[in-house]
Amino acid sequence: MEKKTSIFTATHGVMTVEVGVISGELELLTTCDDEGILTLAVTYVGAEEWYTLPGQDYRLHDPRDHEVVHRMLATVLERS
Amino acid sequence: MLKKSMFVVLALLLWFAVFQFDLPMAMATPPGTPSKSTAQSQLNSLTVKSEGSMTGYSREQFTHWISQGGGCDTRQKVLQRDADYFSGTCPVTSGKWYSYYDGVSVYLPSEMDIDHVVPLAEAWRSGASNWTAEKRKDFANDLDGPQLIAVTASTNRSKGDQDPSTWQPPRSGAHCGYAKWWINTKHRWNLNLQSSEKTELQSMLNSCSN
Repeated sequence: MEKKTSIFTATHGVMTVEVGVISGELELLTTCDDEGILTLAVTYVGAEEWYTLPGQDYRLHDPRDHEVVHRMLATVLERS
Repeated sequence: MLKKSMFVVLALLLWFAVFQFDLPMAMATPPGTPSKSTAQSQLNSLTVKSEGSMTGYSREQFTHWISQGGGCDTRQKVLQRDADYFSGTCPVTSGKWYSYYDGVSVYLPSEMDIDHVVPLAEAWRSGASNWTAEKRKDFANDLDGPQLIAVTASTNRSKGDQDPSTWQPPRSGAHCGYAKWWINTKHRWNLNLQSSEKTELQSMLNSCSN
């Protein structure tokens, strides 16, 4: 189980399953298990609850791709 | 023959007229909606300040929806208040709602959300992080002011935690009312606002006729 986190600013927000769009200083957490199953979560920096990013059943063919997928996602979310 | 076709045209016209009247059923405005001049002085009195941190935030810090008696909670109360008509008492089972933000008519309560006009996360970073749990509960269930409104779940989700500098109702005719409700809520609850938020609120308020 490998976890990666990034902090970024989402001026126009990020869509979440639980509460709709959230914005401001956010933290992205991606988790990849040995099978390549990927889970994506986001929170306000310092807040006490996590939200799920839309979509599910993401699976990497090689868990070593986790790093690049995480960085791409953080970059795209920051732009939005 | 002529008579018959005239009758058809007349029937068509009537049908269109009824259909048209059905569409823009405006809902009653929520309690405490201020006049343009009152909203203007309230806006002028708000403290401009950059946003605070989200440290410690969770939705549980704002207990909702609480019981309002008679088996009804705050959500059910707003659904009843904002309905053109409804059946069922807590839960409301069906009815008709005009979603003010997007102008959509909805007949299923499950498709309606109760929007906190000033979102809970926005309140937290505008001063509510310093409140007691009791005060946050009162804010999240505030039926006395224009802070709660029934709108489509889809507009509520696209709004999320954003303030008027990044999100405004998709229906431009809703901008005046939305600005008044936002300003009044921040004023009643003594919350701060950012300068970008103030600029947008001013321009939305300018669109009001009174």
